[in-house]
Amino acid sequence: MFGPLRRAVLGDQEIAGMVTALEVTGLSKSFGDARALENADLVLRQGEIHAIVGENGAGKSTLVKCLAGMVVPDAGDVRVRGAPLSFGNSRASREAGISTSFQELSLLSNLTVGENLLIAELPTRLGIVGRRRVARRAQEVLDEWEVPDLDPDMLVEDLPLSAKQRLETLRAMYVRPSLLILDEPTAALPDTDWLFAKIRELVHAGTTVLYISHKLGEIRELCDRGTVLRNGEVVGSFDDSNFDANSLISMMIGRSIELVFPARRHELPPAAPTVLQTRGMTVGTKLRGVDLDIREGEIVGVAALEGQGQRALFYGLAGAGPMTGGTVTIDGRPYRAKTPRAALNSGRGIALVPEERKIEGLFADLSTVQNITSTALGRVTSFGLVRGAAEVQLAAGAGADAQLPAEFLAREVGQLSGGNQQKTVLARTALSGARVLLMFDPTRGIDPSAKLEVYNMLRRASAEGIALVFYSTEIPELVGLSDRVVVLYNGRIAAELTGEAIREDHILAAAVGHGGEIADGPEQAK
Amino acid sequence: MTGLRRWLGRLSTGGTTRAALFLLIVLVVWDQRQIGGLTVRLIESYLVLATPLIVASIGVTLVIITREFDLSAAGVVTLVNVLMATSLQSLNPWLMVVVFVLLGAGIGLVNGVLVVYGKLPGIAVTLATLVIPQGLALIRLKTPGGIVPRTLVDALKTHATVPRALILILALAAAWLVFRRTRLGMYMFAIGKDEEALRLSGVSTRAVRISIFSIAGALYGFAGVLIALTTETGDANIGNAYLLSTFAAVAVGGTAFVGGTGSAIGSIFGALTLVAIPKVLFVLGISNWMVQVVTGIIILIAVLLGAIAARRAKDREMLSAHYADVSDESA
Repeated sequence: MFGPLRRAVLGDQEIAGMVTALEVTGLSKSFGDARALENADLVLRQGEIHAIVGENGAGKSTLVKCLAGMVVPDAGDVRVRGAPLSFGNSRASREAGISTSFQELSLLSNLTVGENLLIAELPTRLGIVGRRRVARRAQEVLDEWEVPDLDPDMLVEDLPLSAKQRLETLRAMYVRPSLLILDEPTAALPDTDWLFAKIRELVHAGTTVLYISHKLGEIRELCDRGTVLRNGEVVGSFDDSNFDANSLISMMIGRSIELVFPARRHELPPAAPTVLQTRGMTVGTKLRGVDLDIREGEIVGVAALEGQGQRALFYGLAGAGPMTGGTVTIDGRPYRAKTPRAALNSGRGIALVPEERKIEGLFADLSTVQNITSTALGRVTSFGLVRGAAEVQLAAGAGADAQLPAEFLAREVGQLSGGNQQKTVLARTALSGARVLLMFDPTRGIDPSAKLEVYNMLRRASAEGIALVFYSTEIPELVGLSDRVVVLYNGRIAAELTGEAIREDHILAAAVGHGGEIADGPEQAK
Repeated sequence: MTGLRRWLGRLSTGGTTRAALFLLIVLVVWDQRQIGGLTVRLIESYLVLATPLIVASIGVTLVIITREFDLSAAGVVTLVNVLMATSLQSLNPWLMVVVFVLLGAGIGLVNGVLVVYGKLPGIAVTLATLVIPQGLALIRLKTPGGIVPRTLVDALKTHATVPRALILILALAAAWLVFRRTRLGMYMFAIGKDEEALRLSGVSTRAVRISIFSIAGALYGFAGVLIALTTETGDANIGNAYLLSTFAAVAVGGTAFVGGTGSAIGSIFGALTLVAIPKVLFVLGISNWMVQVVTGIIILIAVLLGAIAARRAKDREMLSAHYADVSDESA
């Protein structure tokens, strides 16, 4: 959709596709026995936005790291505008004009925004990196790139995830590279307008972009062409003319599925008792008096733009964050949790599946078995010792329920793909016997088939009578899965939608602060 | 205004401030109980006595900030001390200092290369570079003795209006304030926090880690020179005490052993506190045998206070980071 404009800018040569910005030939890389990339070929034309799609573990991030000089491939050849790239040397990659925004975010939390932005080329005077000099230069960059919400002097650890993501992408873009690599740049970004506008500006100026994302909608909107990876191999390509989401998904997973939301198995009984009730729940100024009633087996979706109090709600309920006012009851009994462990134990339990699973939810160095049983060790302990066989049996059962392939049980969780880590968290939660399950953005950054399994897991949990509250940045998920959608705006419930009223446009309208109009007439909300 | 508030906030939670308070308490007690109070002479000799531990613990601090471990300080200190008293006596004494500092840097370089390129644990590598120099020192000088160049001793110990040792300590503090704002200094902190992130940011983390080990080694070498100047003799067993007291000084100085944070100035205060403890116990009439017990208790208190401050900071972080919305923070 962006093609004609650019073709007007570039010369005849480019139209003929003579100029290749990047040529990857026969690139292979294995980590131990695991094959990450197998004989991958890729050609990027000068000035195109080229998508790479594939499931988690398909080799996308390995490809990115080979290009960025972070990983040395076992075999293959990379040419940047005809010149061979020397591997395993981030400086060489940078000097070849490659700049990368990494999926796992490469920011230093104990440095400021400005220092992070300029980290590779910190400006010095007499050898000293002056605070004011850094702040001034960083402010110039932030102004030039229209990012008013970042303060150069702020410590990165004080930023919310979305701001970190924006900083990561900005750091890759502001040097105006000839090849820009963006690995899942919107995973934590609530809105893509700024990013897409800036990418297009860069492309106008001659930058070529390699864009890695799970979000097919974004790719359709932004990219000219794309390549599909599966198990480290290139299995197909597409462009504007033959873009079809369903065929892409089947290419990615190697079989055909429709990305549809699994239907509810049982109707929610009208008399289902209330499990979780909050009255006037308040967390500082972030959450200002929220009343919720979640019934047995009900799936309640929470929709909100970034920073409307959703985190305060979820973490507060789970005892992982503070609560400054209001009451919470479970099955009619008052409940107040100071720690996540207390939340699990009190009454019949609230379990939270947090975002950023790699950091918050799991013990990366322990085996998957140990992670699954970590909250239920009491069940397999005799005389203070954990019975190994019983632990494995318990974990295997829960893992199977969560569709986690058995071969992963013995591995360290840190080696698992994002989707399988998610299943590990789910299996653990199931074992903990929680009454209420809170899931904070459970499908962020996982691939379509793993998403489908998470959806199925939600449905199974609800069929077992668990009260489910989940927050998602993807509105179609809320529409497809929820019995009820609660929209938060500015720390308050802006709208509560049920049945036919659960529609993307209604949710969006309430999320941007036009909730009141929906009650009167949905059509006016536009 | 916000700058002042930030500064006050740092003061209330900073390990360096706590270390300064420890030192202040110790010095006040000493001054109160010392007959005739603390005289300039007394302070001067106390500062001289503290310089070797100060310099060595600054080296250890740098390595700990990069989330590594370095036991070699005691080994380098011993070897240099013995060589100062026995070798290169015909050389210009100042050139001698340079040579021994470079020797320390060389041992640090070996540490760094083995840890970074050999992918070996720092604690194991530096255990070897602790023991080997100590062994070499024993071969060189079996009983304490030797001659230390007079010029250098006088340079450190001669009475002056502003004590020479104080100038040295202030210069080290100033050097630290500059160093932590150099690229290398900033990368040192960044590595301790998240080495992989720094690597992905396009910085050669190997070079940084090796440089820090080398600088630490140079500081150990300099500390060895200073021991020779304070004791005016060579002793192959002198370093034994330094193995633990360098780490003790770092701990009392408020540098957490988690990497990514720390202050050499805190370690200066920590080292000064540790050196003052025997003196204070003496004026209090407490047996010298209690020194280790008291030192241990002070280390525990320092670490405990540090942990409490860290927990508080984490609570605040939870409140601000988890629930922060950038747009309304900056509005």
